[in-house]
Amino acid sequence: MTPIPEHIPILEHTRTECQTRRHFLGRATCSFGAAALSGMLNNGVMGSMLSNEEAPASLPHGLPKAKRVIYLHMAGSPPHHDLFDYKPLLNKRHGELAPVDCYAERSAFVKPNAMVLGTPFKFQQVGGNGAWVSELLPHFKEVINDVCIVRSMYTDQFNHAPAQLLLQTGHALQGRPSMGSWLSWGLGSENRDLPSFLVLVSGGKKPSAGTSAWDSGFLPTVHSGVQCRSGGDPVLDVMNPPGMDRELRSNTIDAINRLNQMQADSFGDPEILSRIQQYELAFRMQTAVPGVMDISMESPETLELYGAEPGAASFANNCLLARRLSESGVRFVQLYDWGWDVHGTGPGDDLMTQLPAKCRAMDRPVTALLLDLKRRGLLEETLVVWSGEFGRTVMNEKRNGSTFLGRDHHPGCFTIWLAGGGTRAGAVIGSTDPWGAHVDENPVSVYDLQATMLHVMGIDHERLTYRSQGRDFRLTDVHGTVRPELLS
Amino acid sequence: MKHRFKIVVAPFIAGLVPLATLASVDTAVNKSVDFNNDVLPILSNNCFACHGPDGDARKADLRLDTRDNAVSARDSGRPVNTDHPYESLLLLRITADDEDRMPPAEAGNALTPDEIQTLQHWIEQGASWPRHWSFVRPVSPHLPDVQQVDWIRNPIDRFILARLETERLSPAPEADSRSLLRRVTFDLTGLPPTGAEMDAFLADEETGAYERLVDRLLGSPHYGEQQAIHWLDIARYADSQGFEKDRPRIMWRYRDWVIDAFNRDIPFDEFTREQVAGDLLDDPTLDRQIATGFHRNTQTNTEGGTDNEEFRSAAVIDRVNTSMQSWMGLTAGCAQCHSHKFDPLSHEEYYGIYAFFNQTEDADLDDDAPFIKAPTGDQQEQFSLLESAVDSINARLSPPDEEVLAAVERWESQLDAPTPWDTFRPTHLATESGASLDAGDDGVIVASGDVPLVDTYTLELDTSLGTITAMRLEAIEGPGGRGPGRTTHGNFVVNDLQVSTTGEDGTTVEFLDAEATFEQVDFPASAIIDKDESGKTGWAIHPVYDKDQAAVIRFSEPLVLGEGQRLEITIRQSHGTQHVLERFRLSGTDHEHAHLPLPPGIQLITDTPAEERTGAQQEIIARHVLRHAPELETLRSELDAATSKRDTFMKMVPTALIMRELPEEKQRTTHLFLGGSFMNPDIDRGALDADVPAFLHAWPADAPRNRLGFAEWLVDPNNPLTARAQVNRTWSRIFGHGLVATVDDLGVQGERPSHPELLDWLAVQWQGELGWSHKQLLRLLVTSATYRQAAHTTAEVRTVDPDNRLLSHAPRLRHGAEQIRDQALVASGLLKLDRIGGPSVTPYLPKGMLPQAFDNYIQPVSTGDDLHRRSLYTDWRRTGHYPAFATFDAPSREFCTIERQRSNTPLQALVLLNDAVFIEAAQALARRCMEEGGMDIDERLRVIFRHALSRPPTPREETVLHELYDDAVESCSRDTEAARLLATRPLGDLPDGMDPCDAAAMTAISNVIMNLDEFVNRP
Repeated sequence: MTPIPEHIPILEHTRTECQTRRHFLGRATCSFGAAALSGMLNNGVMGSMLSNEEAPASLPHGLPKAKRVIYLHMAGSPPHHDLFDYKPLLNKRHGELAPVDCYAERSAFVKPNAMVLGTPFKFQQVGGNGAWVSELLPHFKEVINDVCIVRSMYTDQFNHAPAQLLLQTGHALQGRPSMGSWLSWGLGSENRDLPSFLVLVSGGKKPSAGTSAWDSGFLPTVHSGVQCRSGGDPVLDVMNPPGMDRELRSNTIDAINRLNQMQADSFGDPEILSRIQQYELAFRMQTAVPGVMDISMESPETLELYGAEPGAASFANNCLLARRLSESGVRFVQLYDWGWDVHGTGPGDDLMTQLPAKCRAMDRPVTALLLDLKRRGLLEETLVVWSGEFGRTVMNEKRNGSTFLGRDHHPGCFTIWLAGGGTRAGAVIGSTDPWGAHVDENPVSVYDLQATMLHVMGIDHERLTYRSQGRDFRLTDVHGTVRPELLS
Repeated sequence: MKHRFKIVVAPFIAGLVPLATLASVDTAVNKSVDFNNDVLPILSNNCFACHGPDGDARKADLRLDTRDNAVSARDSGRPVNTDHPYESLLLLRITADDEDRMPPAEAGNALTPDEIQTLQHWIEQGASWPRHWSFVRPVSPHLPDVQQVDWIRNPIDRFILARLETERLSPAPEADSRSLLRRVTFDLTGLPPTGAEMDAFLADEETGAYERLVDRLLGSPHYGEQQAIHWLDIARYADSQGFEKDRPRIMWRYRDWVIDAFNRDIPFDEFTREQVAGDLLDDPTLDRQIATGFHRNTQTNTEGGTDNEEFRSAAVIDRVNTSMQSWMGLTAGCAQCHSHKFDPLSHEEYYGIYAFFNQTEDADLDDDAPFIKAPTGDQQEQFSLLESAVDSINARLSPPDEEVLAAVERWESQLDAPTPWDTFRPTHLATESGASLDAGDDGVIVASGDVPLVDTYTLELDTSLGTITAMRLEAIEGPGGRGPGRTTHGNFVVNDLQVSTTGEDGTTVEFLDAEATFEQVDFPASAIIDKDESGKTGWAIHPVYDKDQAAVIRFSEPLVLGEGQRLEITIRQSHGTQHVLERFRLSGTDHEHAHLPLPPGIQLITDTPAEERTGAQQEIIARHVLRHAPELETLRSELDAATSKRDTFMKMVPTALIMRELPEEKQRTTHLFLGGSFMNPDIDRGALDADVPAFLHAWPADAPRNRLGFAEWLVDPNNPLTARAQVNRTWSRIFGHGLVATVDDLGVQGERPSHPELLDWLAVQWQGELGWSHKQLLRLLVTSATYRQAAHTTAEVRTVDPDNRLLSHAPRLRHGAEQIRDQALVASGLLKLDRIGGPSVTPYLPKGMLPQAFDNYIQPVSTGDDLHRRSLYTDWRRTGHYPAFATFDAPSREFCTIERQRSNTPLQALVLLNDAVFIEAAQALARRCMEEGGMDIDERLRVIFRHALSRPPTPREETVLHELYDDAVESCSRDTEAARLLATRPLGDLPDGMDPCDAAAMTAISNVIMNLDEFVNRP
């Protein structure tokens, strides 16, 4: 099935425009010769978005099932008890003293002798495997047979920033490359005009881990996630300054490249040729990025499906953008949606009001994303992952005697789901104890998830390594096992 | 089954590929094999993960990292057998073609034939096993002989030339004067030469012109700014705390200390002592305390619910890793969790170093304590002026002058006798929340049970008084220094009070006024009786919790109690968040002038006859009376004004985070952390003493066993690594690659030096003759013939030496993020250079930046001169790194960065093409060239080139730019509004008489020049 080419005209436009300009790249490579060019391409520090010249030659290690990843990170962490991991016992024992077993080794705020909090929301069994889904996710039930729900995730971090970093970079402190950076470095981009790792943020704030969550660490800087924005420039500095039109920009880049070429001829430094190439690419990005980020050319039906609105800053818009970016060949699209940290300390993080509000804003677009990918034939080659960074407590947190309801951080277990990319559609993997406090069957660690994701992308997580400070690092550190039960 | 080396693969080593090193390329068949250069890398890369120093990871109980072990007999033979080389198990196993092959397939590739041959020759030649080169103290080598003697300017050149001659390469000719000036000005000051500096240098035809230039640059205050940048990367200096909330942190006094230290050229050993242990030196001056900020640049986690001890120990671990990395070029981090797999650093030894850093007061507290006020030199002067103004007024109180004494006398003569108070006896106590109230014999009422958010107490009390004129509410300090309230700190808020009498003819009391021994700001005692319906106003006592407090409430009319009548008192506490009383007592009086007691200290003095009072007592009472006597009003307001001026000034004085050693009795014990986790201290192993690793040089005699001793150890003359690591790093910045290319790792896994003798010669020179002087080291480097070469190269040279490790020509190096912006500001004339140091500033930010989670802070863009300060003063926010700098590879400084990447990406092109900072600079350069160059385009181009590239344009370049000018004018004249925007936003309106279209076209040209490869590269 051919994807619906809604965005293609813009990219075609870019190409045509490039061809009508004086074109220096061709001249540069010719005058310098193939040897120089290949020397340049082998230079480890040269960042090119064209492909992954500096990555290990052995890739892919195995047959890739997915080509791209869309990672939907619900920053703050939704409560598994109220969305996917239905525990009638909690409702039965609501308001009673929670057994000691319900506590994790460490928690952030919840005090000893806290009370059990039954879920205030109704659950229903849906799909072929009878997955329990909360009434807060009415749309999601439509795609239940397309997702693989994993109820037995666990982590060892109980604060947001370290837990997010562990999930995204394999290490609880900053400084390691994120998953998207590893994939960008390992596999490069499918699109000559766009970065291979893009980040979209909604909810008004960055995730707790900040830009470290999409940093390239010790990998070359070009593999850092590039944040796309709904306000201002879609990518920082991608738009020309006020008063400079595209023709004048084209002429200035021409002049830059002609002058740089003279320098290259004089110094014989291949880095100068690389720079000429980067300016060509920058010029193409200037059209490609705003083009792909402009959702106004989507059909009204599609906009309606997602609940997206051109010009708005919303999670719905970001889901639609995720499809557009992924469809354009962006290797890793990372969404962060802030506001899931439902402690119940006040109206802003109340389980009774904030969680339903967040679910309303998330349920429809996420469902739409899966449906849209599916009808375009993209789901099978796109791995979609939905998760928070940890679970939440059995107990009502009741911080400082708060009368709002909410749950504290809990690393012992949480629920995520995966879709597409050769994952096992319709499956429900793993289970937790009757309290939903600890994993009962099939524990899946954060490293297992990472190993499995890399596997889906055709990468052996033990072989994608990078040497820094005398050590070979990898995403999964010294851990992780590919989990075949998550795969079809 | 015969005993085999059983192998279970550690996934850690998977995919290792030996680094090709220059030194190992030429391992010829008959050449004598050098263990360190040729053999050790092979063993380390392929064997040590399972047969190295880490005992826990070791397989088959076999070690191949020491000779003793490698040559020892095992059941199956000797791994290394020098008597019968071909029986060496090592050789048998690496050449096996079955499952016996080492390393096993899961762990890595088979060794190459070259590698196998190297090991074979090495064993044949007797398997010599000298220590790893960098663990042996460097000795000054003989200077090598060379043929092209007249090229030599200093000894560096001999080493470089000798190697070039061996490889049959010749050095490039000397760079032209302009390039050389530009190169050295950038390297030493981070700035381009100004036009005037260029003219002066080109005009100086005397011998030694270049050396004079170098000395001038080394003496410039901008030298320290440029050198500081690299050290600030290492020191992980930032203006925010890091982690989730990443709140702003005032730390710039440390940054300025570094700038100043480079400008003063403090010898590196002293530079080390002051930063690692300035607080422990005999004279811990303010400057030295500020210097200890080096290790306070670790992150602080203020995320709610975190364990401070977890992040305190993370900071200590960072200090260990950063110290070993920064000073000695060793990667100690592995040994946090297990013994190092490559370098002989054990797990236990790691925590020996940890113990040195485990004794400081800081503990991941939200306010970053401990910190001190760190006034700058100017501020110290201003402060002493303000202080002496206060002192001169205080002089009138100590000893009190006549006027004050007279006031004291009058005030004492009017003192009332103390009010007698009768404690009410509770007969019935109730709470609205259900909490319990219990009264003791002393009448103190104590609340217990669940702590409610709000509460109302209803008390029935008996009294022996027949008439009551006033009542007193005492709030009594809780156990352990807590306040009288039920919040965790012990504050409370009494919002309303009702007093009535019981019985059918009971009446409710009207109040006259209220006062208290202490009143929290905005929570006065008068609020208790203000009849405020909202329940928001009340009396509270933050932050004085460590003493009893009391409020006295006077009644409008005396309350007369009938026979058998009791009091009913209701205390309403509606503030919320548990601000309710825990310990309190109520009493009453029938005295006419009920008042609060004098503070105990004052009472004691008034009880002492005036002539018997000590000087201190006289002053205390004088200060008390100063607050109450109307005739001292003028003196009081003078003192208050002067004090407030001084204190307000002090608030503006920056603070600095410091290291402060815990007193002996509070020192912590250090345990090894199993798996590196602070949750798993190895108690069984016992407490560990502070110590340094056994494989390195000995502890210096007489050094104290603390951080100061550790600092001495780092710069001890016997330290084999520190001087090499520093020299190598400086070399790398100047020549593009370190002599050891892995500047962050001089250990076993690091690359071999390309010029080992040169590295050792430099290290010995620097510690010895050059006296650890950074300026002298740089002077040596930049005055070498090697440095002064042209950067031109040929395809042939690149084939032989693609990375220019042999330095047959000068490298072209991409500028750091800071230099690129600074240069744009210099060329355009916008840069404000006159001030060194000061609070951090924020240049233009791109639209669409988001605040950090849980914190709404985004740096405001600076205004005025602060908009155009040097880039190193930019506010360094760890999780919200200034975007243009991040794009140009500046690290976010969460951890120590030894060397930055030099990448080349399209995002960098977008910054230089479109970012407001660079557009504004282009606009300013356009105006500058129009002012200095007039209407002639060629003249203008010469101005632009002079300021931006330190050279005139070539005719071919002029042609290209003329074409662009014509194109730009044409497109601008089609849309003059666009032209105006391009020429003025964000810089501002054009000067009178400047044509917008002309200015826009020149802006486009300036924008082109500031995007050239030549602009972003050091020549």
